[in-house]
Amino acid sequence: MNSSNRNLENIEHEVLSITKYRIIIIVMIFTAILMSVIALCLGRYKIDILDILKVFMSKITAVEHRWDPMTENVIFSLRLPRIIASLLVGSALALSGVTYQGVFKNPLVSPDLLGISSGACVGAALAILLGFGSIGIQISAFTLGIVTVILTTTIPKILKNDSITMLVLSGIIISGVMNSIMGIVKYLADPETQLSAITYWQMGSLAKVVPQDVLFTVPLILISTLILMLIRWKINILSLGDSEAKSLGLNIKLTRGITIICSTMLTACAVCICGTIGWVGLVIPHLGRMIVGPDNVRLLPISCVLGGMFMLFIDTLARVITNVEIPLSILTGLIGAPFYFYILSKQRMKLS
Amino acid sequence: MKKKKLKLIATVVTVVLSASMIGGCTNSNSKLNDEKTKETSAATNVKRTIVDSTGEKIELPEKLEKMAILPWPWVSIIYTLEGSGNNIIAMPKGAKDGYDMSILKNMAPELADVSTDFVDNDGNVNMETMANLKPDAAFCFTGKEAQTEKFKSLGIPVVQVKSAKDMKGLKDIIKITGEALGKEDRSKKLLEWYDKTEKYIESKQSKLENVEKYKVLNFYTTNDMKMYSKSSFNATINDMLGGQSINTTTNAGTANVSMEEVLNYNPDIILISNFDDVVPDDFYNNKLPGQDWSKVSAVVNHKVYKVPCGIYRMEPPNSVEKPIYMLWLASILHPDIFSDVNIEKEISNFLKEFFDYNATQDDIDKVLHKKLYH
Repeated sequence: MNSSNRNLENIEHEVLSITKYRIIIIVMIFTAILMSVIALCLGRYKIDILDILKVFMSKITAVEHRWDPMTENVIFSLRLPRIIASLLVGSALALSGVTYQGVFKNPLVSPDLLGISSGACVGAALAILLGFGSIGIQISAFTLGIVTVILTTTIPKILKNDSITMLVLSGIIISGVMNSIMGIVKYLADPETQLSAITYWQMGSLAKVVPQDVLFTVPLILISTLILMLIRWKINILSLGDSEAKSLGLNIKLTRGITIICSTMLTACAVCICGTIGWVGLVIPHLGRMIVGPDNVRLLPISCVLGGMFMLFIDTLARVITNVEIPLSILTGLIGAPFYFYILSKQRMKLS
Repeated sequence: MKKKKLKLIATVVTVVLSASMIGGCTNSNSKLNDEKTKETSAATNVKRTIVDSTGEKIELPEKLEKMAILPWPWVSIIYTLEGSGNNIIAMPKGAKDGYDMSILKNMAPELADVSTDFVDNDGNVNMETMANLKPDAAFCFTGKEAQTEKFKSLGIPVVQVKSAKDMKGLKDIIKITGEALGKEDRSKKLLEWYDKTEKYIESKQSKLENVEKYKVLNFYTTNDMKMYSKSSFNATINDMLGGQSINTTTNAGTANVSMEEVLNYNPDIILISNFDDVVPDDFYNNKLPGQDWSKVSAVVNHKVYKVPCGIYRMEPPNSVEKPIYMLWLASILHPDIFSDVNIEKEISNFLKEFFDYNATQDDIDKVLHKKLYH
């Protein structure tokens, strides 16, 4: 009750005018596009920016081909899929994080709360152990991630306790079980070939993404994003507390169910494209709150764009810094965690 | 009004860029094929088609002048079939380390500057660095479809083979490599040598039936107690030569084994690999950290050996000099039965026949690690 009162008061202090918000979002989208173009130019393989523009123009009109065919290969087979995938993954994870934080009324929550990352890890590890191809690994990771979330949400039903605390606790339990299974799988894996593949997947990488992978998950990500965008005002009501929400006429169970399903879908798709990546779903919503305040109607789109930009930045860093690719989780941790500290110090722990 | 205009411009730019991006994604393959065939039909009319281990038909240029090789032992196989290292432009660091420690360093100075930083120690390739090198073909082990897809999307043909688990597997690799390089005459010569060695060992089978099957322990890396497993090529060789191998359950080529299992097995012969710097004296003086070898039969009887390293390490299953390894091990396991083996002559014959290289006594001593034994 107290927190919900505080919520309303804080909104009054931090609200931006609608025009300011619109400008911010347009500027951000522009920046994201600019970053994508820059990312296309960056990489171990040297490409002139003029060549890039020419290559793109050649798709629309006829332009004389004066560049190495390898250049076109590198742009369309190596860099473009990665850029699009990193934008998608980043926005999916950030959106899922923002939704979870709204639904669970707790800004310390991340998409891994219900155990989806640990479940997907086990799924991928089992697929690698059994020698499945990359499609098999993706399907396995996706399926086991979803199954884990189903398990986590079933425990409260079995124990006949529907509260948020119960859900969080069952997430901890299932994550613990999944992590132990992960340990067993790693022990059984062939140290020569499989173990490194499993660890590499666990730490996340976009190096192996091919356009086909992205095509399978793009519709799911877009549909879930659309649904969440359409009902984002309801998340505001959810975050006021159960009794308040009920009195305002919201169907809590339905809304909570839909949002959890959509966020889980987003996280599962992100994870099966590139492995588990931490910190994005936790830090980006906070950054978004710093810019536009806690109103979910504004926060969700901003987090989407910010998440995409952040992931694009991280992935470009990962492939450009050294010859050996750095796994994404390492970079998100190294950059995200201190950044999180910085954000919290700026906000002085105003976790509204 | 200004904001609306801004929004309109933003939308238009976004639409144009995304249209070209999407267009690029879907059209690129067909466009690429047109360009590739235009370019290649102008440059090299002749192309060879080979079938690799995956059963796929692969088109390779007539002369492979820039080869990127991913599996470590394959570098020396290709070197043997080519007779020189001039056409190899990229190999992993593990292969380079093997080159530095072997006599190949003297024989093939052209390999000293080959690029090694396109792949990390776990086998993950940085595709952009690979694109920079612009190889004519890449050579990989099977089982990495995502990587193969990436190579193909860059227009680089990939030749794949399966890691050998027995003699037949190794011979298949030699045959496919010979076809890929257009050096079938040399691969035939190499295979004849393999057949000759196999026949020689088979001729001794009747004598090997009733001997004591000594227990061999084939190390992969010593410090973490990794051995070649019971399903590896080395275990098959142990059986062929009248020996036995330690029990492991995995299907993989190597396995971790605990000290207890080793003490239970009590090997009669220990073979140290060339993947670390451990020497027999480390066992005799019990200097290995965290391990106690003093009671083991092989240590008590001074039967700890380091596997020879010719132009490459000889203990991996895909080593080109495997016949030398087999004859060397044979003369250790049952010297009375394999008394007509002259291992030094085998080594110098191999180097003379395939590389026209006259091995000095120093070279042969280096191959056999003579200075480790007293």
